[in-house]
Amino acid sequence: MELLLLFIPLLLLTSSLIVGLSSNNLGKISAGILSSTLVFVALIFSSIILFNIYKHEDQILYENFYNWISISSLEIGIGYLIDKFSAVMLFVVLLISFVVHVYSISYMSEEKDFKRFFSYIALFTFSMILLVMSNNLIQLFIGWEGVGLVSYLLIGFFYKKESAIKANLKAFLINRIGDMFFILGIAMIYALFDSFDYRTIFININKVDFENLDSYFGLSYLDLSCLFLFIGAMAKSAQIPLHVWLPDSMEGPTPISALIHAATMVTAGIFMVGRLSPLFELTDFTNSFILIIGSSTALFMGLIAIYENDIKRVIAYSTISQLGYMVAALGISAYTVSFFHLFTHAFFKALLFLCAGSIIMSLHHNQDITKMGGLRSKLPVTYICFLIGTLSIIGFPLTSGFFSKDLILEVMLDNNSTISFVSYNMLLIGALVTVIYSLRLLFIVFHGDFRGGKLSSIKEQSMIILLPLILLAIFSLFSGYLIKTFVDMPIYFYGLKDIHYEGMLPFISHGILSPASIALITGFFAAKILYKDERKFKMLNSAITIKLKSFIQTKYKFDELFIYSSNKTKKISSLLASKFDIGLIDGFIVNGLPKKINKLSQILKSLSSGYLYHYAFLFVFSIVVIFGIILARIL
Amino acid sequence: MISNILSLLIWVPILSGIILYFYNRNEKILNIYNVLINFFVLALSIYLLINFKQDVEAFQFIEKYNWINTLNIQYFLGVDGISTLLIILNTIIFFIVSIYNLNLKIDKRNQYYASFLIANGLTIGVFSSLDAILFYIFFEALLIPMFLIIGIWGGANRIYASIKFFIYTFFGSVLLLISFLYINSKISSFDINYLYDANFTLVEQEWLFIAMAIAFAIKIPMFPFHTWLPDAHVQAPTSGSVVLAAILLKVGAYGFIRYVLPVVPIGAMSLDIYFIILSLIAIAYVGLIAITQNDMKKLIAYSSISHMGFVTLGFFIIFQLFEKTSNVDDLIISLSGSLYQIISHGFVSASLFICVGSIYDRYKTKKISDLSGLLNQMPVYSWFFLFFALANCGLPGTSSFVGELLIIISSFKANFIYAFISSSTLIISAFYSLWLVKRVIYGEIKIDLDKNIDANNLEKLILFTLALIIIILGIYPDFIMNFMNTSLRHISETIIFKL
Repeated sequence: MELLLLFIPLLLLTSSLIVGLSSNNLGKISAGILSSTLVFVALIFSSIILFNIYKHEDQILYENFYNWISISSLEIGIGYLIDKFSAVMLFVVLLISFVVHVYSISYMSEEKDFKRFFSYIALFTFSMILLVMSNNLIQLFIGWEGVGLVSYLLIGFFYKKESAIKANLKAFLINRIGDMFFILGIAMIYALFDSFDYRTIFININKVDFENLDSYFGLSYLDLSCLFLFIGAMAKSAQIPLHVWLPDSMEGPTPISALIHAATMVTAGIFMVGRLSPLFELTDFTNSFILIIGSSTALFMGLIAIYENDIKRVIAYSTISQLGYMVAALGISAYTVSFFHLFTHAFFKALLFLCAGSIIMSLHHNQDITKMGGLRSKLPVTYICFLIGTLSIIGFPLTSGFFSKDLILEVMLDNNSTISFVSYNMLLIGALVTVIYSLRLLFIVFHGDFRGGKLSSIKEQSMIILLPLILLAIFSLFSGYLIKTFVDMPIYFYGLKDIHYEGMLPFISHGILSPASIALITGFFAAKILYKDERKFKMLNSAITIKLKSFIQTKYKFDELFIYSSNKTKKISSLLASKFDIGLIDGFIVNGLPKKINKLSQILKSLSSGYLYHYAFLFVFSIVVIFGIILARIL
Repeated sequence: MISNILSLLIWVPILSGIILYFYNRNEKILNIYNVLINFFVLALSIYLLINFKQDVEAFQFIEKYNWINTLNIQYFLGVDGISTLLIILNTIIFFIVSIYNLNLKIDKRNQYYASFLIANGLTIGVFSSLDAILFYIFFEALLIPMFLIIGIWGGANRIYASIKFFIYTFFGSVLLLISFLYINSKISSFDINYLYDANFTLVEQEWLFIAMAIAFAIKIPMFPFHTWLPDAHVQAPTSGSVVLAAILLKVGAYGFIRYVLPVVPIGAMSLDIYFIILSLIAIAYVGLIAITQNDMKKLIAYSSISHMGFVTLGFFIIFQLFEKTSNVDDLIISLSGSLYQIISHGFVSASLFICVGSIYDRYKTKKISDLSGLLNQMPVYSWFFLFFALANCGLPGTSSFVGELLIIISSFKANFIYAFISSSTLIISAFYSLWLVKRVIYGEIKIDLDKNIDANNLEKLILFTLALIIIILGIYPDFIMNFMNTSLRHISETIIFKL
């Protein structure tokens, strides 16, 4: 087992290094096949581990590969901690990664930098695995930053495009804002437990006297440290207001969006909170904060998606909104429920993105949905897959999204508090919004008439593109039936979380009769009338709705906030450099002092002029002054 | 076992440098001779490293002779883990520089080489002398080759820069000499072991601390004594910048841990808050300044100052850590962070200066606004440059992460505010490093040189070696930590004992 676990990251690292550093002798296709094979082997290994974990109940694999640092009492290792939670995550990451690898062989085949791309995605998966496998906070952070780094490289893949290199810098900087707080949170946890190791932390959690700890800004010690950790998660998992990098990350190649949005990077924040749940469990303020951030993200970011016209950006905003659902579930301590949504979301979101990629390829790199339409007849396989993805995301009964989203709504309603009731309503409206933007996309792209010229030249992509879609479609349809596994999943050292679940059939019937179904039906008719039948209503032209629309289209000005603060930083920087560093320290003191000394010596020089009458005058003048002083004293 | 290995390490490069100074005929022989000597020194230092016993507390490879009896001055050499590591850093950097210099087209090649060889020997002298006056002599003499390198082979404004550099550091050195003389007047010795045993009153310690701290703070340089560094870097030739950033700044930091903290800990403790504040200013404020620099070398110089802020922060928080936790381990962790940062920054800054220097050789400009899209024309260089820039912003997996991590977690134990300000470097350093990358490497090409100007094999080898070192130090820091653990424990215990 240990060997398998060691090989999983090593396989990906090898794949990244071989493909990235190989000479031209290694052709594109063989490089693609090579790295896909390596990921596939890693996937097999991870499924063996998953199988073993589920066969032996309550087994937890824990070991260090090597000591990263050991300074007297401080020991940080690189190793693994595999329980059900991380084993499932590992499997999902590798599965999505494998699908994306295969898909990219065809999608990227025209690119000159084909091999660089494959090297990046292998490294990306490697970082994510490091993060998921980790048994301590530092390894988690290493993977965390590694994911951020590779996303930086991937978003800037087309480095000649100004928009791409702006977007990747933005993504990295915003992630770094989160990382700053994340490392502070880690430092706080370390100061409390004198260890970074999960096991040591969770075992000692009962021994800590939380009453006598310092409090900061009116928050208890643990509240603040978890808040800082969560701010890190907000940047990675694109929560308001640190979400601005995610829509811009669409500058990267499409398969990457599938990888970033489905299994890696954005899910890291959710995973981290789940991993550290024994700590988060003990906080009050931070939990409410998480709940509020999550539910507002779910609602408000969904609204933006309704007015987007770029197919990838619509899906990007839908990711942010769905992440909001997961975060909201974290806020009421329903960690496994959140993880369940992460699990199903991984499949249907990857599916949607890869379908979008297929459409974009067929339309010769057009991403504007106003120039699409009626593609149903020309791209039947893509259409069906996209339809399945859409049904899942809107939570259509018996698809995977139905199970996970309904479970979130139900536990939210069961949680008796005012905040969670408000959140419940926000999430319910969010569900309606999800239905509207998802169906809008489906109707505009696949129904009606084609608006982009000739329809006849469009044809379906090759099987390498379509097979991954079909595979993901199957997962999107059926992964929801694993609901029991997630309800029963223990959270490490914390045991089972009590989630109200009575079995499959009651859950389904209850879900169909819940308010979510009303949202589903309302949303369906709204979207059908507005975008399929393209009927206009007077109501939509009233002043209020137009104002509302333009307000949403500003995207709440978060982008402007970011640009403003980065420009402000540059201004402060140049001001400090010119005024303080060069002006005061260098100009006034360092170079000024020699000038002053020069002046003084000029004066002294002019005193010793060599003329006798100057000396005579000074002599007499001095005597007069001295006698004057003496006289003044005597008198 | 080679006896007198330290003397060999010091005097072989210095004497060969002096010989080289008078030999100026065949360029080929010059090149080979220079590389060979540097390689010999590197090999010797590796021999030192291999034979060094990690768990011995006392100084090793000791050479002790009376030199000037009447003044209590000895020729006293020896190393502990800290000095061994710094000597290795030194010899690796000088060896790489000697290879890099093969590509240069310069006048007075023999004298250029000679200056570097002499600087190499003198730095080893600084790191291995255990007699304060001997240390002072090496410390001071090191100024001369650096002054010459900047003043003779530098850029257009080299005279101003070299004189500024000289006066700044010389001012500090005078204070250092006075402190050593005062100590001698009290304990009649310059021997490091006696210095560690000596006890001074609080007032004495405060004055000694201020005098010595200013001397070393200028070398590091700490804010507000830092303004000589950007000028010196901008004017210095590439190899000069490399040595300046990678080695010379570390001499100041070494001075702190060898001659200040263990000798006058009470003085340091009573004034530590000022130095903590200055370190934090260096990290945040100097980092901010780096963002909008238009000269690449200046940008890296400012970022160096910012990174050295971590080193001094790690040094000075130990007193508050001791007050809070009374646990010697916390002191060791913080000091380890500082030392690791010293070593890591040596390699990262050297790599960055080599990259910038090579860009300058090709495009004849260091201005960021003149350049763009280098990735199109020199891909190998650009990928390395990107890697080093990422290392510069402390990415995990590279060496710079280790030191910053250890210092941030230690500083939180001392005070929340320290950790908050110092961790802001995650954002600031990413901002200046990657904005630089965006403007210089990415985008469309601006100056089209229309020929193959990518790295040649020699340069590829240099860049690859440096990148490899940075990665190895990043993924297996324990190797280095093992070397300094015992020595740092010894120093921490000396400090605590005297408090």
